[in-house]
Amino acid sequence: MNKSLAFASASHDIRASLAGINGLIEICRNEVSKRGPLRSEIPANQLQMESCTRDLLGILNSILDTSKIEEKLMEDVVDLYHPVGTKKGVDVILDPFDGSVTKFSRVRGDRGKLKQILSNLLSNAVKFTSNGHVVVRVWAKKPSLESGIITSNKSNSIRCLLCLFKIQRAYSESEATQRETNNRVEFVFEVNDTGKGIPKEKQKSVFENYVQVKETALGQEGTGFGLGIVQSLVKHTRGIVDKEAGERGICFRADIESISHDSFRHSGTSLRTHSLKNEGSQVLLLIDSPERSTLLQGFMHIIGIKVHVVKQYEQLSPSLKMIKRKLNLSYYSSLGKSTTSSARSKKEFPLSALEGTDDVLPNPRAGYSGFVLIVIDTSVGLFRHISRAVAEFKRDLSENCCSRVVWLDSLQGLDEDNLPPLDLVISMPLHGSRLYQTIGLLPEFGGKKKPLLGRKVLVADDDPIGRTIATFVGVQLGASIFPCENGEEALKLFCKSLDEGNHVGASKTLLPFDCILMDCEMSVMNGVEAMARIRKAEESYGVRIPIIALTAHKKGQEIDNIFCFIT
Amino acid sequence: MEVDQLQRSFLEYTTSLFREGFLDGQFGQLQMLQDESNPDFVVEVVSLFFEDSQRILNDLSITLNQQNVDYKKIDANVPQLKGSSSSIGAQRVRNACIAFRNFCEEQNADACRRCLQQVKQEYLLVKEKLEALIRLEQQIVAAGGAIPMLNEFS
Repeated sequence: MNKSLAFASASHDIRASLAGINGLIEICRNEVSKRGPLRSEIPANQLQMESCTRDLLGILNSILDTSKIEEKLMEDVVDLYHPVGTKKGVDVILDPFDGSVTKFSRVRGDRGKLKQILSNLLSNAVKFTSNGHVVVRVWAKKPSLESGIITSNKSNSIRCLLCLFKIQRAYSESEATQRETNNRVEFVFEVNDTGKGIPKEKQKSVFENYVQVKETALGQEGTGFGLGIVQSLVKHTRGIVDKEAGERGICFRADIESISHDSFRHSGTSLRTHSLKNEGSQVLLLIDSPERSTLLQGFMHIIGIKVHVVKQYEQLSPSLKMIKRKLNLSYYSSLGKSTTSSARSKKEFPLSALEGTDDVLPNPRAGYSGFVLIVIDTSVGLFRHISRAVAEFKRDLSENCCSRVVWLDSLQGLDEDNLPPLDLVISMPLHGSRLYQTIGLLPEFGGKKKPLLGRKVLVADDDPIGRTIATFVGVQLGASIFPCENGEEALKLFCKSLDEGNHVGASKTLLPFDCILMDCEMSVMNGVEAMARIRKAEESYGVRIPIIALTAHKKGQEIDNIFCFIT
Repeated sequence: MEVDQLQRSFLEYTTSLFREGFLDGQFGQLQMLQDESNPDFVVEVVSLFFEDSQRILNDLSITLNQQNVDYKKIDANVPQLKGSSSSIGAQRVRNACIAFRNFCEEQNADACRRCLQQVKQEYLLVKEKLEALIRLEQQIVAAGGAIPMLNEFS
């Protein structure tokens, strides 16, 4: 009894210290990045430090058997071997595949052993591949209960035998089976490479110790232990069900109990794959490695993003032009005939939220056109030319479209100060958390929140500061704001817009605004009167726009007056 | 001067302004609205406040210096100043305006003049403080640092 208590408290203390170390490393990282790390080694070292603390945590957890297979585990291992691979000219890629692993990121399993297995497999793959790529992927699915030979859906025909291990628990048998069937998730790990394969006859035996493929024409070295270690790890690790070597690589399945994932929040790096209504975002990919490009394209397609892949940098400019043409076309077609209406000078409004247009009146039909995310590997060509093409794209992009640029700068040659402030630079390979961060820029996945995009709001307030702030906040949220100084201006603008809206020839009256924010106390026709007259004007058109009345008065006479006026 | 030092001074100064009641949570909200894509938001709003307030205070002075004080005008102007000082978080100016309004209803010319003095004083004080704060901000940016954010306040 005492032992387990002591255990628990010791582990708690260790966890606290580890958390402390992790937190301090993150602070250091922020400090360094704020000062501009230039080409220092510190950030890379700090990332490895964080990885080590996660390992320690993993070991601790495995003692208590409450570990998690985080997405970071895969990323850490792949990142560890990526530099080694790059030196040889081999790209080490973590394939997000179908993103299923993010749905089941909280599981019980032995993190340390799993990492060891992956490390060994990856180390082998990199060692025995002289060019091309090594791809690591993991995907999750609910296990099927029948045992038997299951063919993988990959074209390299790896066959895995399925046999279920019972996960020992302290509960009663029936409870255990109940829990198991509900919560079990099957993970399949695959490490494929373009190196010399393992010949069929050797595939079974290669997991024994000391056995190594003898064709060492290229002098590939190895201790012969690697896969043997994998074998014993697989045997002795709870939950790992089987491994199989195939032509192109090795895969193993792990049958792991997953903690129900809706009882907690996903970590920040996980991808929220609940896609909101499709906002029509597009991604343009220009990446040096064709394999990585293809895998990314596949993944994005699965999660519902439209992707354009540009294979060479000469094609960048024409591709961007085409995207822009399509976007601008859809925007202008929605403008309709309103572009012929009189252009009012911007000075009539103290703050014009419609920068760049002469058409000051609200347009009933213009809506949000789309978001374009441009991901470019700086090693594809001369940065000068690439950045020129991108700048050209951004110029004249219709104002209803947003764009964001992500530079993949593995050579770390970019000077961030010379880039536009919203551009993102990623110097580590684009997979794992960096990939999710990039996708997170898209509006469907929690990108810059513009919930009011496409909305038109009339703001009437005689306080210039209040007007400024309301306009600013509204614009930040994506709305088009039409500020007015007093009730009279508001009424005038409202009536004019209502008129114009009807000349476009629609059968139904188009609403000039989605909402009106009206301050009640204003000079030159206060808000209350303006509201009453707006309602009157609306009657003849049969519309009713929500008006939000703002007042500093507390309950009392003034409030009652407001309600009297507005029937 | 080192960026760290500047940032620390900035935080200390801002905290003291909140503590002494010159600024309230509203100003904090404005600071939070500012970001890389709108780095001058606070400066713009503050400048607007200065312009607007100066105009109103001038008008009020003129009105109160007349033989026959036009209380209607005062009644129109004071709430405006109260509104804009609220919007920017200039707490003491706002409170002074509230007192002013009460005396205006009583049509007490002397009291009103005293109130006007009070409002003017508070305005000048907060103006000075805000200008100092903005100067600090500009120094930080010039030294290559980022303007630190205070955690949630009042």
